[in-house]
Amino acid sequence: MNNGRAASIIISSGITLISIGILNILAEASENIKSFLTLNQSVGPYSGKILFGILIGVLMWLIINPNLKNKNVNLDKVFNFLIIALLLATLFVFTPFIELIL
Amino acid sequence: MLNEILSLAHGFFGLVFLMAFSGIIVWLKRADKKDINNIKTASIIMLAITLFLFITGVSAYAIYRAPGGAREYIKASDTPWVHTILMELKEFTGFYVLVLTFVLTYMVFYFKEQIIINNKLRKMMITLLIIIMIWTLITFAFGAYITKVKPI
Repeated sequence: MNNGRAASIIISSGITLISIGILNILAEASENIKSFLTLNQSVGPYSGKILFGILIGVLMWLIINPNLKNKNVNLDKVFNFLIIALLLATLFVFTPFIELIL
Repeated sequence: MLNEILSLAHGFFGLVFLMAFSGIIVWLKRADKKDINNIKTASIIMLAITLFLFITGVSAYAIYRAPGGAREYIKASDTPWVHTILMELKEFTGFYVLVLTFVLTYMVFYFKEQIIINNKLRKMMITLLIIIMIWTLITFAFGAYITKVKPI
C-alpha cells in the first residue's frame, strides 16, 4: 500500500502550522502586514493568519500530492517533520520569543 | 445569556472530545482489528468537536476582543501577561489541535486496519494522539485561567 497520499497530507499540514507561525511573527514586525491580515475587524489579524495559513497548506498539497501519491515514502521522517513544524509553530506564537527576536 | 450558552457548549463538547480520545487510545493499545470501526467513529467525533470548538472559540474571541471587553480589562490590569502570553498562545494552539486531529482522522481512514496491524503505524498514531492531548490541555488550561481572571 502506497503511503504517499498520507505523506502529502501530513507535510502540507505541517506547512500550514509553520505558515501560521511565520505570519504571526510578520504581523508583529509590521503594522502594514497586520492590517493586511485583518480580514475581519472583530477577530483582528488572527482571521488572516488562519485563512492564509490554510491556503498556503492547500497550495502546497496541490503541488506535493501529484508527486507523492503513487510513491512509498519514509513515513517516520514525514511524521518527525510534522512534530518539528508543530514545535516551531508554537514557538513562533509565544510572545516572549517574538519579543526576543524583534 | 448567549455567552453563557456558548461557554457551556464549549466546555461540554471539550469533555466529549476527551472521551473520544480515551476510546481511541484504549482501542489502539488493545490492538484488535475489530475495533477499527470504533476508532473511525471516535476520530470523526474528535474532528467534528474540534471544528465546533474552534468555531465557538473564534466567536468567543470576537466577544473577548470587543471594545470594553475582557481583553481591555486584562491588558489594563496588573496581569497583562494573561493576554499577551496565555491568550496569544491559546488562540493558536486551539487551531493546531484542529490541524493535528484532521491528520489523525485522515490516517485512520487511509490506513484502516493497518493502524492496528502495523506496529510502527500504531505507535505513530498513539504518539500523535498524545501530542493532540497535550496541546488540547494547554488550550483548555489557558482558557480556564483566562476565564477565571475575567469571564467574557
